[in-house]
Amino acid sequence: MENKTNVFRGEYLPWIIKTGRATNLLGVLLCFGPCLALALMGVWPNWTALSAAMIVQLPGNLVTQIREPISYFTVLGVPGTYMAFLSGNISNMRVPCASIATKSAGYVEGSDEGTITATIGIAVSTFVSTIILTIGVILGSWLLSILPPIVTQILNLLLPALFSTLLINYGMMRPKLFFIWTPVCFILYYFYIIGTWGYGTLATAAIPIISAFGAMGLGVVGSKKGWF
Amino acid sequence: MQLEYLTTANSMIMWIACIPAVLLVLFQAFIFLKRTWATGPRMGVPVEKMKEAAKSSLIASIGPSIVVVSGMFSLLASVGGPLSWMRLAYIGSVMYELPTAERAAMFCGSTLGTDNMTEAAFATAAWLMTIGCLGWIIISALFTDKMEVLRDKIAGGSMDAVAALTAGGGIGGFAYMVAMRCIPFNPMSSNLWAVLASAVFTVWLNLYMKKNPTAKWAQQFGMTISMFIGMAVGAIALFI
Repeated sequence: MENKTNVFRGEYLPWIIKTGRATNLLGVLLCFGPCLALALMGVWPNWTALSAAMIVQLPGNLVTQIREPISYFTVLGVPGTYMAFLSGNISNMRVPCASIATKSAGYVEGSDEGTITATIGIAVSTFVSTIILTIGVILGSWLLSILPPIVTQILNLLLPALFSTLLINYGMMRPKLFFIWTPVCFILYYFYIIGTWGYGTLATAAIPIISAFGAMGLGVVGSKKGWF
Repeated sequence: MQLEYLTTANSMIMWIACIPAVLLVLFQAFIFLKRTWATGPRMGVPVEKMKEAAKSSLIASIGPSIVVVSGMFSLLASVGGPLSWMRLAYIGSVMYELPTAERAAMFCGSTLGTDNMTEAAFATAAWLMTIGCLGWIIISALFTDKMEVLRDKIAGGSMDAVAALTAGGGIGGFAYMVAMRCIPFNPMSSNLWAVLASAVFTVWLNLYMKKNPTAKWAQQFGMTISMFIGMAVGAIALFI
Protein backbone atom coordinates (compact mmCIF):
# COMPACT_ATOMS: atom_id res chain seq x y z
CA MET A 1 0.00 0.00 0.00
CA GLU A 2 1.13 3.54 -0.67
CA ASN A 3 2.10 5.76 2.22
CA LYS A 4 -1.29 6.93 3.44
CA THR A 5 -0.03 10.23 4.83
CA ASN A 6 1.51 11.09 1.47
CA VAL A 7 -1.69 10.25 -0.35
CA PHE A 8 -3.78 12.29 2.10
CA ARG A 9 -1.56 15.31 2.72
CA GLY A 10 0.44 15.34 -0.51
CA GLU A 11 -2.30 14.72 -3.08
CA TYR A 12 -5.81 14.66 -1.68
CA LEU A 13 -5.84 17.74 0.58
CA PRO A 14 -4.10 20.09 -1.89
CA TRP A 15 -6.65 19.12 -4.56
CA ILE A 16 -9.54 19.59 -2.12
CA ILE A 17 -8.23 23.00 -1.02
CA LYS A 18 -7.73 24.21 -4.60
CA THR A 19 -11.14 22.97 -5.77
CA GLY A 20 -12.96 23.92 -2.57
CA ARG A 21 -11.66 27.47 -2.63
CA ALA A 22 -12.52 27.91 -6.32
CA THR A 23 -16.06 26.51 -5.97
CA ASN A 24 -16.81 28.49 -2.80
CA LEU A 25 -15.55 31.74 -4.35
CA LEU A 26 -17.74 31.03 -7.39
CA GLY A 27 -20.51 30.50 -4.84
CA VAL A 28 -20.06 34.09 -3.62
CA LEU A 29 -20.95 35.31 -7.13
CA LEU A 30 -23.90 32.92 -7.61
CA CYS A 31 -25.31 34.11 -4.29
CA PHE A 32 -26.31 37.33 -5.99
CA GLY A 33 -28.46 35.52 -8.61
CA PRO A 34 -31.83 36.50 -7.09
CA CYS A 35 -30.68 40.11 -6.54
CA LEU A 36 -29.62 40.29 -10.19
CA ALA A 37 -32.92 38.79 -11.37
CA LEU A 38 -34.85 41.38 -9.35
CA ALA A 39 -32.69 44.16 -10.78
CA LEU A 40 -33.42 42.90 -14.30
CA MET A 41 -37.12 43.16 -13.48
CA GLY A 42 -36.50 46.71 -12.29
CA VAL A 43 -37.07 45.86 -8.61
CA TRP A 44 -34.49 47.46 -6.33
CA PRO A 45 -34.20 47.38 -2.56
CA ASN A 46 -34.82 50.36 -0.32
CA TRP A 47 -31.14 51.21 0.17
CA THR A 48 -31.61 53.21 3.37
CA ALA A 49 -33.56 50.39 4.99
CA LEU A 50 -31.01 47.85 3.72
CA SER A 51 -28.08 49.80 5.21
CA ALA A 52 -29.86 50.15 8.56
CA ALA A 53 -30.80 46.45 8.60
CA MET A 54 -27.23 45.50 7.73
CA ILE A 55 -25.84 47.49 10.66
CA VAL A 56 -28.10 45.54 13.01
CA GLN A 57 -27.78 42.17 11.31
CA LEU A 58 -24.16 41.79 10.28
CA PRO A 59 -22.24 41.95 13.60
CA GLY A 60 -24.21 38.99 15.00
CA ASN A 61 -23.82 37.06 11.75
CA LEU A 62 -20.11 37.71 11.64
CA VAL A 63 -19.60 36.31 15.12
CA THR A 64 -21.44 33.11 14.15
CA GLN A 65 -19.54 33.00 10.88
CA ILE A 66 -16.21 32.98 12.71
CA ARG A 67 -17.30 30.67 15.53
CA GLU A 68 -18.96 27.94 13.45
CA PRO A 69 -16.08 26.99 11.14
CA ILE A 70 -13.67 26.82 14.09
CA SER A 71 -15.91 24.81 16.40
CA TYR A 72 -17.13 22.33 13.76
CA PHE A 73 -13.88 22.02 11.87
CA THR A 74 -12.56 19.03 13.77
CA VAL A 75 -15.69 17.00 12.97
CA LEU A 76 -16.15 18.20 9.40
CA GLY A 77 -12.52 18.08 8.25
CA VAL A 78 -11.12 20.22 5.40
CA PRO A 79 -13.36 18.91 2.56
CA GLY A 80 -16.39 18.84 4.84
CA THR A 81 -15.89 22.46 5.88
CA TYR A 82 -15.94 23.66 2.26
CA MET A 83 -19.05 21.58 1.53
CA ALA A 84 -20.93 22.34 4.75
CA PHE A 85 -20.52 26.10 4.45
CA LEU A 86 -21.57 26.05 0.80
CA SER A 87 -24.66 23.95 1.42
CA GLY A 88 -25.68 25.34 4.83
CA ASN A 89 -27.74 23.62 7.53
CA ILE A 90 -24.50 22.94 9.35
CA SER A 91 -25.38 22.12 12.95
CA ASN A 92 -28.71 20.47 12.16
CA MET A 93 -27.52 18.24 9.31
CA ARG A 94 -23.89 18.33 8.11
CA VAL A 95 -22.23 17.93 11.53
CA PRO A 96 -24.54 15.06 12.60
CA CYS A 97 -24.10 13.28 9.24
CA ALA A 98 -20.32 13.65 9.31
CA SER A 99 -20.30 12.27 12.83
CA ILE A 100 -22.69 9.39 12.09
CA ALA A 101 -20.81 8.39 8.93
CA THR A 102 -17.45 8.35 10.72
CA LYS A 103 -18.82 6.46 13.72
CA SER A 104 -20.59 3.86 11.60
CA ALA A 105 -17.34 3.12 9.77
CA GLY A 106 -15.55 2.87 13.12
CA TYR A 107 -13.01 5.68 12.66
CA VAL A 108 -11.97 8.49 15.00
CA GLU A 109 -13.36 11.94 14.22
CA GLY A 110 -10.60 14.32 13.21
CA SER A 111 -8.26 11.55 11.99
CA ASP A 112 -7.29 11.27 8.29
CA GLU A 113 -9.56 8.24 7.78
CA GLY A 114 -12.30 10.04 9.69
CA THR A 115 -12.00 12.91 7.21
CA ILE A 116 -12.64 10.47 4.34
CA THR A 117 -15.81 9.07 5.95
CA ALA A 118 -17.00 12.53 7.09
CA THR A 119 -16.65 13.79 3.50
CA ILE A 120 -18.71 10.88 2.21
CA GLY A 121 -21.34 11.51 4.89
CA ILE A 122 -21.62 15.21 4.09
CA ALA A 123 -21.76 14.66 0.31
CA VAL A 124 -24.52 12.07 0.68
CA SER A 125 -26.49 14.29 3.08
CA THR A 126 -26.17 17.16 0.59
CA PHE A 127 -27.76 15.04 -2.16
CA VAL A 128 -30.53 13.82 0.15
CA SER A 129 -31.40 17.23 1.58
CA THR A 130 -31.33 18.95 -1.83
CA ILE A 131 -33.67 16.33 -3.30
CA ILE A 132 -36.07 16.49 -0.34
CA LEU A 133 -36.02 20.30 -0.36
CA THR A 134 -36.72 20.40 -4.09
CA ILE A 135 -39.67 18.04 -3.72
CA GLY A 136 -40.76 20.07 -0.69
CA VAL A 137 -40.72 23.38 -2.50
CA ILE A 138 -42.68 21.95 -5.43
CA LEU A 139 -45.31 20.27 -3.26
CA GLY A 140 -44.95 22.87 -0.51
CA SER A 141 -48.10 24.93 -0.81
CA TRP A 142 -50.22 21.84 -1.34
CA LEU A 143 -48.70 19.99 1.62
CA LEU A 144 -49.05 23.11 3.72
CA SER A 145 -52.79 23.04 3.20
CA ILE A 146 -53.30 19.36 4.04
CA LEU A 147 -50.94 18.88 7.02
CA PRO A 148 -52.47 19.68 10.39
CA PRO A 149 -50.28 22.11 12.40
CA ILE A 150 -49.61 19.45 15.04
CA VAL A 151 -47.48 17.53 12.49
CA THR A 152 -45.10 20.48 12.14
CA GLN A 153 -45.03 20.87 15.92
CA ILE A 154 -44.07 17.21 16.31
CA LEU A 155 -41.46 17.36 13.53
CA ASN A 156 -39.87 20.35 15.25
CA LEU A 157 -39.07 18.06 18.18
CA LEU A 158 -36.54 16.20 16.00
CA LEU A 159 -34.05 19.04 16.43
CA PRO A 160 -33.82 19.12 20.25
CA ALA A 161 -33.66 15.31 20.17
CA LEU A 162 -30.83 15.44 17.63
CA PHE A 163 -28.86 18.06 19.58
CA SER A 164 -29.27 16.06 22.78
CA THR A 165 -28.07 12.88 21.04
CA LEU A 166 -24.97 14.65 19.76
CA LEU A 167 -24.28 16.28 23.13
CA ILE A 168 -24.31 12.89 24.85
CA ASN A 169 -22.18 11.29 22.13
CA TYR A 170 -19.50 13.93 22.50
CA GLY A 171 -19.99 13.88 26.27
CA MET A 172 -19.22 10.18 26.43
CA MET A 173 -15.94 10.81 24.62
CA ARG A 174 -14.87 13.01 27.59
CA PRO A 175 -17.33 12.45 30.49
CA LYS A 176 -15.54 14.69 33.02
CA LEU A 177 -15.49 17.58 30.57
CA PHE A 178 -19.20 16.96 29.91
CA PHE A 179 -20.12 17.07 33.61
CA ILE A 180 -18.11 20.22 34.20
CA TRP A 181 -19.05 22.14 31.08
CA THR A 182 -22.72 21.34 30.37
CA PRO A 183 -23.92 22.96 33.64
CA VAL A 184 -21.72 25.97 32.83
CA CYS A 185 -23.50 26.39 29.46
CA PHE A 186 -26.92 26.03 31.11
CA ILE A 187 -26.07 28.61 33.79
CA LEU A 188 -24.63 31.04 31.22
CA TYR A 189 -27.77 30.75 29.12
CA TYR A 190 -30.04 31.10 32.18
CA PHE A 191 -28.35 34.35 33.20
CA TYR A 192 -28.57 35.53 29.61
CA ILE A 193 -32.35 35.06 29.36
CA ILE A 194 -33.09 36.61 32.73
CA GLY A 195 -31.20 39.62 31.40
CA THR A 196 -28.19 39.65 33.72
CA TRP A 197 -25.89 40.67 30.87
CA GLY A 198 -28.41 42.75 28.95
CA TYR A 199 -29.80 41.70 25.60
CA GLY A 200 -27.32 43.47 23.33
CA THR A 201 -25.50 41.89 20.41
CA LEU A 202 -22.43 41.46 22.59
CA ALA A 203 -24.20 39.25 25.14
CA THR A 204 -26.02 37.29 22.42
CA ALA A 205 -22.71 36.62 20.70
CA ALA A 206 -20.63 36.01 23.80
CA ILE A 207 -22.59 33.07 25.24
CA PRO A 208 -22.24 30.62 22.31
CA ILE A 209 -18.59 31.66 21.89
CA ILE A 210 -17.75 31.05 25.55
CA SER A 211 -19.70 27.76 25.41
CA ALA A 212 -17.83 26.39 22.40
CA PHE A 213 -14.33 27.79 22.81
CA GLY A 214 -14.34 27.34 26.59
CA ALA A 215 -15.05 23.62 26.20
CA MET A 216 -12.43 23.25 23.46
CA GLY A 217 -9.80 25.09 25.50
CA LEU A 218 -10.56 23.15 28.66
CA GLY A 219 -10.55 19.91 26.64
CA VAL A 220 -7.08 20.53 25.19
CA VAL A 221 -5.59 21.76 28.49
CA GLY A 222 -7.19 18.81 30.29
CA SER A 223 -5.79 16.37 27.75
CA LYS A 224 -2.28 17.80 28.05
CA LYS A 225 -2.38 17.83 31.85
CA GLY A 226 -3.94 14.38 31.99
CA TRP A 227 -7.11 15.51 33.81
CA PHE A 228 -9.65 13.83 31.53
CA MET B 1 -55.58 36.61 -4.75
CA GLN B 2 -51.82 36.23 -4.49
CA LEU B 3 -50.00 39.21 -3.04
CA GLU B 4 -48.35 41.31 -5.73
CA TYR B 5 -44.78 40.94 -4.47
CA LEU B 6 -45.20 37.15 -4.39
CA THR B 7 -45.96 37.16 -8.12
CA THR B 8 -42.50 38.69 -8.62
CA ALA B 9 -40.98 36.37 -6.01
CA ASN B 10 -42.38 33.27 -7.75
CA SER B 11 -41.64 34.40 -11.32
CA MET B 12 -39.79 32.17 -13.79
CA ILE B 13 -36.78 34.52 -13.89
CA MET B 14 -36.36 34.11 -10.09
CA TRP B 15 -36.32 30.32 -10.50
CA ILE B 16 -33.73 30.58 -13.28
CA ALA B 17 -31.57 32.87 -11.11
CA CYS B 18 -31.62 30.42 -8.20
CA ILE B 19 -30.83 27.22 -10.11
CA PRO B 20 -27.05 27.79 -10.71
CA ALA B 21 -26.35 28.17 -6.98
CA VAL B 22 -28.11 24.92 -6.09
CA LEU B 23 -26.39 23.14 -8.97
CA LEU B 24 -23.02 24.36 -7.65
CA VAL B 25 -23.73 22.72 -4.28
CA LEU B 26 -24.53 19.41 -6.00
CA PHE B 27 -21.55 19.72 -8.33
CA GLN B 28 -19.12 20.31 -5.47
CA ALA B 29 -20.55 17.43 -3.43
CA PHE B 30 -20.28 15.17 -6.50
CA ILE B 31 -16.65 15.93 -7.37
CA PHE B 32 -15.57 15.76 -3.72
CA LEU B 33 -17.34 12.43 -3.31
CA LYS B 34 -15.77 11.05 -6.48
CA ARG B 35 -12.27 12.06 -5.44
CA THR B 36 -12.76 10.83 -1.88
CA TRP B 37 -14.12 7.49 -3.06
CA ALA B 38 -10.98 7.03 -5.18
CA THR B 39 -8.63 8.17 -2.39
CA GLY B 40 -10.11 6.16 0.51
CA PRO B 41 -8.89 2.71 -0.54
CA ARG B 42 -5.39 4.10 -1.22
CA MET B 43 -5.32 5.17 2.44
CA GLY B 44 -6.45 1.77 3.64
CA VAL B 45 -10.14 2.66 4.05
CA PRO B 46 -12.01 -0.33 2.60
CA VAL B 47 -14.87 0.28 0.15
CA GLU B 48 -17.25 -1.57 2.52
CA LYS B 49 -16.57 0.99 5.27
CA MET B 50 -17.13 3.85 2.86
CA LYS B 51 -20.42 2.26 1.81
CA GLU B 52 -21.43 1.95 5.45
CA ALA B 53 -20.62 5.63 6.00
CA ALA B 54 -22.71 6.60 2.96
CA LYS B 55 -25.65 4.41 3.97
CA SER B 56 -25.86 5.63 7.54
CA SER B 57 -25.56 9.27 6.46
CA LEU B 58 -28.31 8.72 3.88
CA ILE B 59 -30.69 7.40 6.51
CA ALA B 60 -29.70 10.02 9.07
CA SER B 61 -30.25 12.90 6.60
CA ILE B 62 -33.90 12.12 5.97
CA GLY B 63 -35.29 13.26 9.35
CA PRO B 64 -33.46 16.61 9.53
CA SER B 65 -34.27 17.27 5.83
CA ILE B 66 -37.98 16.90 6.58
CA VAL B 67 -37.56 19.32 9.49
CA VAL B 68 -35.96 21.82 7.10
CA VAL B 69 -38.85 21.36 4.66
CA SER B 70 -41.39 21.97 7.41
CA GLY B 71 -39.49 25.14 8.36
CA MET B 72 -39.41 26.09 4.69
CA PHE B 73 -43.21 26.30 4.59
CA SER B 74 -43.22 29.51 6.61
CA LEU B 75 -40.46 30.95 4.44
CA LEU B 76 -42.37 29.85 1.32
CA ALA B 77 -45.40 31.88 2.31
CA SER B 78 -43.18 34.91 3.03
CA VAL B 79 -40.56 35.14 0.28
CA GLY B 80 -41.87 32.73 -2.37
CA GLY B 81 -40.62 29.40 -3.74
CA PRO B 82 -37.35 30.15 -5.56
CA LEU B 83 -35.69 32.19 -2.83
CA SER B 84 -36.75 29.76 -0.06
CA TRP B 85 -35.42 26.83 -2.05
CA MET B 86 -32.10 28.48 -2.81
CA ARG B 87 -31.56 29.90 0.68
CA LEU B 88 -32.13 26.54 2.35
CA ALA B 89 -30.20 24.41 -0.15
CA TYR B 90 -27.38 26.92 -0.34
CA ILE B 91 -25.44 28.36 2.64
CA GLY B 92 -28.50 29.27 4.70
CA SER B 93 -30.46 27.55 7.42
CA VAL B 94 -34.06 27.81 8.60
CA MET B 95 -33.04 29.32 11.92
CA TYR B 96 -31.30 32.19 10.15
CA GLU B 97 -33.30 33.01 7.02
CA LEU B 98 -36.76 33.84 8.34
CA PRO B 99 -35.65 36.32 11.04
CA THR B 100 -33.39 38.00 8.47
CA ALA B 101 -36.22 38.41 5.95
CA GLU B 102 -38.47 39.69 8.73
CA ARG B 103 -35.90 42.24 9.83
CA ALA B 104 -35.40 43.58 6.28
CA ALA B 105 -39.18 43.93 5.83
CA MET B 106 -39.47 45.64 9.21
CA PHE B 107 -36.89 48.27 8.28
CA CYS B 108 -38.98 49.01 5.17
CA GLY B 109 -42.07 49.41 7.34
CA SER B 110 -43.61 46.21 5.92
CA THR B 111 -44.60 42.82 7.31
CA LEU B 112 -43.82 39.58 5.48
CA GLY B 113 -46.77 37.82 3.90
CA THR B 114 -49.17 40.76 4.20
CA ASP B 115 -50.46 43.24 1.64
CA ASN B 116 -48.32 46.09 3.00
CA MET B 117 -45.26 44.16 1.78
CA THR B 118 -43.94 46.00 -1.27
CA GLU B 119 -41.69 44.72 -4.03
CA ALA B 120 -38.93 47.00 -2.74
CA ALA B 121 -39.30 45.46 0.73
CA PHE B 122 -39.03 42.01 -0.83
CA ALA B 123 -35.90 43.06 -2.73
CA THR B 124 -34.46 44.44 0.52
CA ALA B 125 -35.08 41.06 2.16
CA ALA B 126 -33.42 39.24 -0.76
CA TRP B 127 -30.37 41.53 -0.57
CA LEU B 128 -30.06 41.30 3.20
CA MET B 129 -30.31 37.50 3.12
CA THR B 130 -27.60 37.45 0.43
CA ILE B 131 -25.17 39.89 2.07
CA GLY B 132 -25.75 38.39 5.51
CA CYS B 133 -24.66 34.92 4.45
CA LEU B 134 -21.56 35.98 2.51
CA GLY B 135 -19.37 35.70 5.61
CA TRP B 136 -19.88 31.93 5.90
CA ILE B 137 -18.81 31.21 2.37
CA ILE B 138 -15.98 33.76 2.21
CA ILE B 139 -14.48 32.62 5.52
CA SER B 140 -14.73 28.96 4.48
CA ALA B 141 -13.23 29.72 1.04
CA LEU B 142 -10.26 31.63 2.40
CA PHE B 143 -9.49 30.10 5.78
CA THR B 144 -10.40 26.39 5.76
CA ASP B 145 -6.84 25.31 4.94
CA LYS B 146 -5.49 27.50 7.74
CA MET B 147 -7.77 25.84 10.28
CA GLU B 148 -5.96 22.56 9.75
CA VAL B 149 -2.68 24.29 10.65
CA LEU B 150 -4.32 26.06 13.61
CA ARG B 151 -5.78 22.80 14.91
CA ASP B 152 -2.43 21.00 14.68
CA LYS B 153 -0.74 23.89 16.47
CA ILE B 154 -3.27 23.90 19.31
CA ALA B 155 -3.11 20.15 19.71
CA GLY B 156 0.68 20.18 19.41
CA GLY B 157 0.75 16.89 17.51
CA SER B 158 -1.07 14.96 20.22
CA MET B 159 -3.90 12.79 18.85
CA ASP B 160 -5.51 12.76 22.29
CA ALA B 161 -5.59 16.56 22.29
CA VAL B 162 -7.21 16.56 18.82
CA ALA B 163 -9.87 14.18 20.16
CA ALA B 164 -10.37 16.39 23.23
CA LEU B 165 -10.70 19.43 20.98
CA THR B 166 -13.35 17.61 18.90
CA ALA B 167 -15.21 16.49 22.00
CA GLY B 168 -14.98 20.00 23.48
CA GLY B 169 -16.35 21.61 20.29
CA GLY B 170 -19.24 19.13 20.32
CA ILE B 171 -19.99 19.47 24.04
CA GLY B 172 -19.81 23.28 24.06
CA GLY B 173 -21.73 23.77 20.80
CA PHE B 174 -24.53 21.32 21.49
CA ALA B 175 -24.84 22.01 25.24
CA TYR B 176 -25.68 25.59 24.28
CA MET B 177 -28.29 24.46 21.74
CA VAL B 178 -29.85 22.07 24.27
CA ALA B 179 -29.86 24.85 26.90
CA MET B 180 -31.72 27.12 24.47
CA ARG B 181 -34.49 24.54 24.25
CA CYS B 182 -34.71 23.58 27.95
CA ILE B 183 -34.47 26.98 29.68
CA PRO B 184 -36.63 28.44 31.17
CA PHE B 185 -37.24 25.13 32.87
CA ASN B 186 -40.75 23.77 32.47
CA PRO B 187 -41.42 20.15 33.48
CA MET B 188 -44.19 19.85 30.87
CA SER B 189 -42.12 21.19 27.97
CA SER B 190 -42.12 18.83 24.99
CA ASN B 191 -38.61 20.01 24.08
CA LEU B 192 -37.35 19.00 27.54
CA TRP B 193 -38.85 15.50 27.22
CA ALA B 194 -37.43 15.07 23.73
CA VAL B 195 -33.99 16.05 25.06
CA LEU B 196 -34.21 13.71 28.09
CA ALA B 197 -35.48 10.71 26.12
CA SER B 198 -32.76 11.02 23.49
CA ALA B 199 -30.12 11.52 26.17
CA VAL B 200 -31.13 8.38 28.09
CA PHE B 201 -31.29 6.30 24.91
CA THR B 202 -27.90 7.60 23.73
CA VAL B 203 -26.22 6.77 27.05
CA TRP B 204 -27.65 3.24 26.80
CA LEU B 205 -26.63 2.99 23.14
CA ASN B 206 -23.04 4.03 23.87
CA LEU B 207 -22.78 1.47 26.69
CA TYR B 208 -24.32 -1.19 24.47
CA MET B 209 -21.84 -0.41 21.70
CA LYS B 210 -18.94 -0.72 24.12
CA LYS B 211 -20.09 -4.23 25.02
CA ASN B 212 -20.99 -5.14 21.44
CA PRO B 213 -18.52 -3.28 19.24
CA THR B 214 -19.63 -5.22 16.17
CA ALA B 215 -23.35 -4.34 16.47
CA LYS B 216 -23.89 -2.85 13.03
CA TRP B 217 -27.43 -1.60 13.59
CA ALA B 218 -26.26 0.49 16.56
CA GLN B 219 -23.44 2.09 14.59
CA GLN B 220 -25.52 2.82 11.53
CA PHE B 221 -28.95 3.66 12.87
CA GLY B 222 -28.38 4.40 16.57
CA MET B 223 -28.39 8.19 16.28
CA THR B 224 -31.36 8.22 13.92
CA ILE B 225 -33.35 5.94 16.25
CA SER B 226 -32.45 8.21 19.17
CA MET B 227 -33.74 11.24 17.29
CA PHE B 228 -37.09 9.58 16.62
CA ILE B 229 -37.41 8.28 20.19
CA GLY B 230 -36.87 11.84 21.41
CA MET B 231 -39.49 13.12 18.98
CA ALA B 232 -42.01 10.45 20.02
CA VAL B 233 -41.60 11.08 23.76
CA GLY B 234 -41.73 14.84 23.19
CA ALA B 235 -44.92 14.37 21.16
CA ILE B 236 -46.56 12.51 24.08
CA ALA B 237 -45.71 15.50 26.29
CA LEU B 238 -47.41 17.73 23.68
CA PHE B 239 -50.66 15.86 24.12
CA ILE B 240 -50.65 15.65 27.93
